Parts: sequence; structure tokens; C-alpha cells
Amino acid sequence: MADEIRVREWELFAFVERALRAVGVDEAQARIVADVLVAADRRGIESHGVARLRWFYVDRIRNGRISAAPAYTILRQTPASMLLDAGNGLGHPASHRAMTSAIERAHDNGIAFTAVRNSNHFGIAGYYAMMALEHDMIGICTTDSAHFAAPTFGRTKMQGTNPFAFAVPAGEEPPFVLDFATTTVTYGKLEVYERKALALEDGWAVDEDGRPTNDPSARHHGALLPLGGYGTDNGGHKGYGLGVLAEILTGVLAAGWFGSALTLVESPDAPSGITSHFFGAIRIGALRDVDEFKLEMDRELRTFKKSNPAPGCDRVYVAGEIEHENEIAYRRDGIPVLQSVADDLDALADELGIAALPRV
Amino acid sequence: MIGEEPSKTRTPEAAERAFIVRALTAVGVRASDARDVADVLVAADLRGVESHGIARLETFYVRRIEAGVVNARPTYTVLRDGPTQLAMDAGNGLGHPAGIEAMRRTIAKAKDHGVAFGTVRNSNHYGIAAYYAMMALEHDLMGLSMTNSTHLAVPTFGRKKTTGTNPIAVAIPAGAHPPFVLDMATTGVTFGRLEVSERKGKPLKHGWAVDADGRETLDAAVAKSSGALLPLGGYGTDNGGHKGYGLGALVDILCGVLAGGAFGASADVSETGMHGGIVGHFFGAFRLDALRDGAELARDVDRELGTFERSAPAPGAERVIVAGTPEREFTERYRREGVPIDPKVWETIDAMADRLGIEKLERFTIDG
Repeated sequence: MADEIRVREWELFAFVERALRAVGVDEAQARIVADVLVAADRRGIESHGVARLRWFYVDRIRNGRISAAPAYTILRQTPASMLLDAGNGLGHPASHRAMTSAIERAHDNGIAFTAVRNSNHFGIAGYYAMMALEHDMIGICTTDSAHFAAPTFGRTKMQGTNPFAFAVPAGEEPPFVLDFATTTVTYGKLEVYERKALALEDGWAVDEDGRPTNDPSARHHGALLPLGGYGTDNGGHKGYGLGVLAEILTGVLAAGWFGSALTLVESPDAPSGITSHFFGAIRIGALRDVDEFKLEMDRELRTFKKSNPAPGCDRVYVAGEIEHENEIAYRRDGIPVLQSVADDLDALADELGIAALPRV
Repeated sequence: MIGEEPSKTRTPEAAERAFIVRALTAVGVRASDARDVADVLVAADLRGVESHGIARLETFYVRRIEAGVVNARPTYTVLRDGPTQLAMDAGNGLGHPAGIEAMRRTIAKAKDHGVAFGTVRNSNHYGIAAYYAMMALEHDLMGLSMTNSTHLAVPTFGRKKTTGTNPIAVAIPAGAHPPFVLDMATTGVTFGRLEVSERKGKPLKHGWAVDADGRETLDAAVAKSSGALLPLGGYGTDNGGHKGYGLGALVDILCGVLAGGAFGASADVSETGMHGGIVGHFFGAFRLDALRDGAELARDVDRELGTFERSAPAPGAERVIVAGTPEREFTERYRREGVPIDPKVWETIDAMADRLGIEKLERFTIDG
């Protein structure tokens, strides 16, 4: 495509690290943020990668909203759980710390869960769930955010896109990695449709009165709909319920922000430290032989992959497979970055006085 | 049934419970196990989930025991018994007593160690998932319950049934507010919903079902006879069908693969057919007060749920509700008015009572 460039994974990583170091983030934190953002771009989830570097992270550190050098506080812990206060720092390093803690505790305990409060946007949920894989564990992650979506039968924005991620290791097959917003589509998708002046599909959004709409400008005054769409006919109440569950496990359980406090507009000047996260790890060996499990996971995943495609469809995928294939292709050919994003990163490099991002 | 007025022919809760125990003990089930099954089935009928209550007593449980494909007097084997984990083999017995036993043990472990999970393999249909998740509530724990089942749904982009309705249930205790109870099939609708559309002669909605070739269909008869359900999110990926499919697969992984039981192609049999031991379950229990003061947490859960309920309804909607509220309201109403049982179901359970030589279920008719 003409409107994108390609960059090498390590160049992208180094650029994110340079940018964050330039605004006072220490090396250890910067490297974790870089790893999460590059993982998003490498997996083809460009909405959550370097495209957000300036607006979500650098600008908010520069204007003092997010602390570049936060102090973490462990508020509570048991052998199987921990609650961390992230000191209003970047979400990624705090989340990395909390997921690492869940994994360590699950090693000893078989299962563990941790939560983080006073944090910020942490990138893709799948990253943290996938940290469990190399330890032969099942990883779980969810987060809340500022509100974008109306509840079933409601008209007010009451929840974020509140994703859940689950990662399960397999043997020869790539791992099962399910990472999904509990809304039908994300806010970013509405932006794209508005830019292209396309009508929204049914079940994506409501207008400011809570009526279903196909108008892409709904993102300004209306709200997203939960997974399952408008009303209950297609299970909108299920997506809504999952979104509430995410906010209970994060904002409420972590004693962070929740409910109407999170009904605010995301902007560089919005309050920070409003985000909470939840992590879990289950050690497979606590329940059965790991090698047998992996062998059977391969069988399970192949059952889906080998099943007959519907008319007009090439093949049946399993969760995480497309992202896995993107990783292979982008590691070989370079990671695509939109030209507009690349231009913005060049401008950012100038502002920060750091070396620009080299192209392939 | 969903989308229909409840039957005017009712039975008292206690009578329904006793009838289910009579039927199951008549085919050789231990009284204590029969009481467990009765408790789960009556809970479903009280909660307005009629598809999972006494309507299934004969086809799913009595007949399979009579045919010898489900074991009336199983021996449970504990395969793993750690401080925070349990793996159990249900000996191809009824799913409800096995589920209750596994969840009870999981709860006890979580009370001691903060969190625990348990799997059950070689089990059978266990009724409503919410029942087991809700067992955690009286212990001030969060409860989690999932089950896989015979295959009814196609994967995204597929035409062959590869998962069941694979429900997930989560129950979270609140303070003064009733608990949050989410119990959701990972398909868009259940098979029962197709039956209602067919009975009413109404077309299906988009996103519910496909025909035998995997093309979306709005024809209830076609979908029912040879088609399949679609995952939550519907056909393709536009409305997130891949998310519902992913959740269904996750449930099969936890209940089948992790439990060391049947999974994948081995559950590709008729839902109402004669089979046993192909179902597994996954349970979890969490002490939420491991992370923060229990009283403060309960107060904040109240606030969170109340925020939704007080938010402005959309045009034409009466109110915004939170998960578990309709079922709780049905339970209160049916405890007062009697449990509604569909006329067709009355016919089958009366015939079954005759066949088994047990006393029929008592009934009364309500006005209005």
C-alpha cells in the first residue's frame, strides 16, 4: 500500500524506547512499553500500537498527567493474590509487574490473580495474557477504561470497550489467544467509518437518545453498543454483562475508579490514574500432565481449523491465528505503519530531539 | 419459553422438587443425588429458564439412565486434589450432583487459600450454569461455572458444528443489592429460541442461525432440522461473531481439554440423543476480600450496580437492568404464584409418571 511504510521490529522498539526516555521514563519501563506497543503492531492490531505513542503516553507525560517515575505500592497480598497501586504511572510496566506476580504466585499456588489501580492505558490485553504461555499456564487479563458504550436498554455511556484476553498454550499449534472488546466494535472503527463517510452496520452504535443509528458521527454524541448489539435479540445483554464484569473485576475490585466517575471524555487533558486492570494465571500442571494437555490442545485447535468452511469463506480460524500469521509475515517483511502515523512520529522525533524512525 | 407468556398451569416449588426426586429414584438414582438434580432443575424453572428445568427431566436424564448410557450410581474419582485445585472424574453420572460436589470442594479450597478452581470430566448435562456459580455467594465468594455440551453451533466462517452453546456463568456478591449473576450461552440465541420462532411462524433474526451449507438463514424450520446456531455476535466478523466463537472454544478448552475429558469432535452427537460421559465442567471460586476490605468492596459493588440501574433508559425501554435481575424477579414471582410448566411439558411428565408408576405432579391453574 502506498499510504504505509514498513519498519523493522527492533527499529520500532528502539524508537519507542528513545521517545519515552526523552520524556523521563527509565529504561526498564520504556522497554516494557516498547515491547507491548511493538507486539500490537506486529500482530496487526495497529490501533493499539505506536499510533498511540504520542497521544496516549508521551503527551500525557509531558503535560504532567501521567507520572514518568511512579512509585508502586503493594496494598494487599496473599500467596495467591496481590493488589498493586501503580502510582499513576504508565499502564504497561505496572501491568507487566502484576502479571509477573500472578505467574510467580501460580507457580507455587496453582492459580493466582492480581489487580492494579491508579494506572493508565496498558495497550493490548492479549500481551499480558500471553506472558503466561511460556510458563505453561493459562493467562487471563481484563481492563476498564473511560466510557464509550451504552448498556442494554440504556442511552448513557456507562462502560468502556473493556476487553478480555485469554491465552492457552498448545504444542505444535500456535497458542489459543482470544483478545476481544466487549463492545461490538471499537471506537477506532467508528473513526475510520466517519473518515471514509461509510454507514455503520446495524448493532454497532446508538445516537444520543439511545436509538440505533448507522451514522458514523455517532461517536461524538452517541455511544457504542455492547457485543450482541442493540436490545437483547442478538444477545446484547451478554456483551453488556461481560463489560460490567470487567469493570467489577478492575475498577471495583481494585478500589480504583468505576461507575459514573469513568463517564468522561478521553483526551490528553482528561484525568489520569483512572484505569484499573485484572490479571490471572492458572498452572496447567496443577491439573494434568502438561505434555498430554498440549497434545490435546493441538487436536482441539485442529478440529476447528480443519472443519469445512462456509460458502465464500477460505478457511476456519482459531483465536490468535491471524495475529500469529501477521507476526510471521511482519517479522519477515517489516511492520506496516500508516504514513500519517509515520509523519507524526517524525514530528515527535523532532520535538524530542531524538533520531527518527528508520524505514525498511 | 423465552418470548412467551408463562403457562397458567402451575405447581408448588416443593411439589416439583419431590416429583423430580420420585422420578429419578424410580430409575435407581440415590436419593441425595436426586435431590441435587431437583434443586438445580427447580432453580431453572423458578428463574424463568424453562428450557433447562423439568422440561428436560425425561429426555436428558431419566431416559439416558434407563438406557444405561448414564450411570445412575456413579463412583467419583478425585484425580488431583491440591490446596487450590481439584480435578474430578464423575464416573459418567448425572452432571448436577457431580457439579455440586466439585463446586462445594472448590469453594472450601477458596475459603482457605483465597482462590481455587476445579474441573470435572466424564460427566453429563448439568442444567443451568448459574446454579453452581451462585453456590459461592453465600460464602461471600465470586463463583465461576462453565460447561461444554453437544455441538449445536458453527464456528465463524464454518459450516460444521464444532461447539455447544457452552455457557459461562459468573456470580458476584454485593452488599444490600442483589448479587450480579451473569449466565450466558456463547451462542447468539439458544436452540429453544428457534423452536419458539417456529411455533409462532415468525422468521428468525439475522445473526441467529445458518442452514446445512453454512449460509445464514431466517427460516426456523430449516435452521432447526439441518442447520446450526451462530456464535454470539452472529454471522462472520462484522458484529463480532469471532468473539462468541472464541468464547465457545475457550469453554471447550477449559471443560474438555483441561479437564482431561471429551472435547472437539467427540461431542459431535445429537443433543437429545442417547449418550453419556462426553461433558465436562469448569468451576472457580475467588475470595474477593483477598484484595480489599470486604465491607467496602460490597458497598462499591452496590454503587456500581446501582449506577447502571439509575442510568437513563433508551426510548421505548422501561429501565436499565443488571445481570441476574430478571431471573431474581421471576424467582420471587413464581415462588408466590407457583412454578409455571408448559402444557406440552405437562403431557410428557404425566406420561412419564404413568410409565414409571409414580405419583403425578400436582398442579393448579392461576387466573388472568
